Amino acid sequence: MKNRSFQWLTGISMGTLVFLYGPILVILLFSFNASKISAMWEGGTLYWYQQLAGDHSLWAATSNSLLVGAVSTFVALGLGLGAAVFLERGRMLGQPLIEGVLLLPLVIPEVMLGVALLLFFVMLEWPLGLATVTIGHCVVNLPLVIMVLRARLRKIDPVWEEAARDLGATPWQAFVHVTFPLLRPAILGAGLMAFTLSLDDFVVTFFTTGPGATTLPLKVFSMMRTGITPEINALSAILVTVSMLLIGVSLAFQRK
Amino acid sequence: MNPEENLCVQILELTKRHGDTLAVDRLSLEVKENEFFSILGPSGSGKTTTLRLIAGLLQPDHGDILVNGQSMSGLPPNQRPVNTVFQDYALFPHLTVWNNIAFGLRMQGVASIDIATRVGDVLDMVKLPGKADRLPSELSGGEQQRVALARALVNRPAVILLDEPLGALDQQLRQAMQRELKVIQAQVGVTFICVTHHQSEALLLSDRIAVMNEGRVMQIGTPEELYAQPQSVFVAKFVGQSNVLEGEVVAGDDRFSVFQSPGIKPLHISRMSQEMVGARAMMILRPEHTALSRESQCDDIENCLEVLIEQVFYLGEEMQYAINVGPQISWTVRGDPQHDRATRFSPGEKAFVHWKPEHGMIFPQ
Repeated sequence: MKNRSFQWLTGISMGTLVFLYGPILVILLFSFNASKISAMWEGGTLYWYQQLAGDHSLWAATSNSLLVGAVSTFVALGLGLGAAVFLERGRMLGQPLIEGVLLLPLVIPEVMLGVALLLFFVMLEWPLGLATVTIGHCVVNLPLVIMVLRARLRKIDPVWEEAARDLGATPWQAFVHVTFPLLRPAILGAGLMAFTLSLDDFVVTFFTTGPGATTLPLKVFSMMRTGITPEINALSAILVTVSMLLIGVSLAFQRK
Repeated sequence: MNPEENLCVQILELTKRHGDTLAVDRLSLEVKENEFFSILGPSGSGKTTTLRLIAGLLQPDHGDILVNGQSMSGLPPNQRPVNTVFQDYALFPHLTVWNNIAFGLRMQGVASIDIATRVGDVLDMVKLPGKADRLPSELSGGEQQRVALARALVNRPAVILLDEPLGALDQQLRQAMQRELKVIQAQVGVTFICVTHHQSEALLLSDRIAVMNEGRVMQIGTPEELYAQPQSVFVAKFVGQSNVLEGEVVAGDDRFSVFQSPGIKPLHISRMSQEMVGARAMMILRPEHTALSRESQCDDIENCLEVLIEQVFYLGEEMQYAINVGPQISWTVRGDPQHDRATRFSPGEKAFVHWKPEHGMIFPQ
């Protein structure tokens, strides 16, 4: 009986895995396909990857993505660290309210967030471009960063900070020498996650971008207007692989 | 207080509220230089709050703390000449033993050459050379305790606060550590203030003890004073084992008073003031002052009661008997296992418990 249900569970797990990763595997596979038509396999090649490497607009999109990712990650980490420490260690009235407001972007549909940001920038007459995309990514990532850092902070016993204070450290020194080092794995993990989400983001980017500020996911989208080519398969394969690697490393850091 | 003796810590009318309850209520006490002073009390008595107030981790609502004559009022913990050995040690998990101990000196900006010698010295003192590069998680509980002590000692504070210092150690380590604490104190000359709920720990370690209950000091004295001359039922019950009898003082002359407990024959007690005649009172008797016998050894002076043996406990170096003295009244008395071997009492047996009138301690109720 027990064995039977176990087999069932194994079956369901396998099915889920296929469901989740099947399409990605197909893209990976066909990115090495020598045929120009995606549905038929005509032997392996690295030709499409060479094509990608020669595409200047693609390199521009890559550097945009990396720049937006790096800047938005750093800003989200800085703001998120402050907010997380405040929420976990601070003692102030209205903290639950601030907490709710800070985490709100997590449950707002991304399309709404994108539209809201667009309207906001238009209202401010802020020209759309890399800066507005970066701000948009910060808004998306900040709640996640706060959540990850708070979870870690909750596990760091305040008695260590008290011990540091007792041994002559100012509150700032106690943070720098005790809290921050203990928080470092979570900061790295949260940063890698934010960076990955920024690299992959389409919706918010779509609404907040302007001329000359094309990121990689936007590039993939625009290339697809002329049909799904093997180049898109290759580009998608690279994006997926890099994202999965980054998330893997991020999780490893958070578990540490 | 004798002005000749140097006071290290003075606590004046210290008061701290936690919500609606008074955690510390107008607490005043004085700790002399190089003294091992313990604050003993049950959990919730305010002893840990007192310790945190001295360390500066809490600010008092009222009152002041002086260390070497200087007011600590408003000073943050990092500016006080006080270091704490925390209950679960609170060693920094990401730093090696060496860096844990050097932490305080680095915060003070001590030159690195001096840090090296001072950390080395203190590692020798707590007998941990060779463990400098370990992480706290790689040490045993006893070793972690030594590191915590070293981390405080190395700063040469005026006072070291110990929060339940031996609580997390097993019995054998406890005793070794107790002896070592005394040795280290004699070596370096530092004032210790120790908070504990463990009365035997306090008795063994301390020069003087303050017994606390519900935020207030019940009595301050040497271990011997607290044990032999408790001033309240609380102290008598909390320090050492005690057998209790409730009743009334019915008569008194210049030698003895007569204590009457319902259902028990009148008992003789020697120490007592005349005012207590007619008052409700509580008699407390230490187990070591009573003896059990099979035959009645009662005379005119010595007290003697017929009792029922309820339970027998063999504890190696001694026997303990739970005896029924009267309705719903159970006492614990001791016996010598060697001496009693042939004549050991068994549960259900009748016996006689007797004690001298001067051993009964009487408290108004």
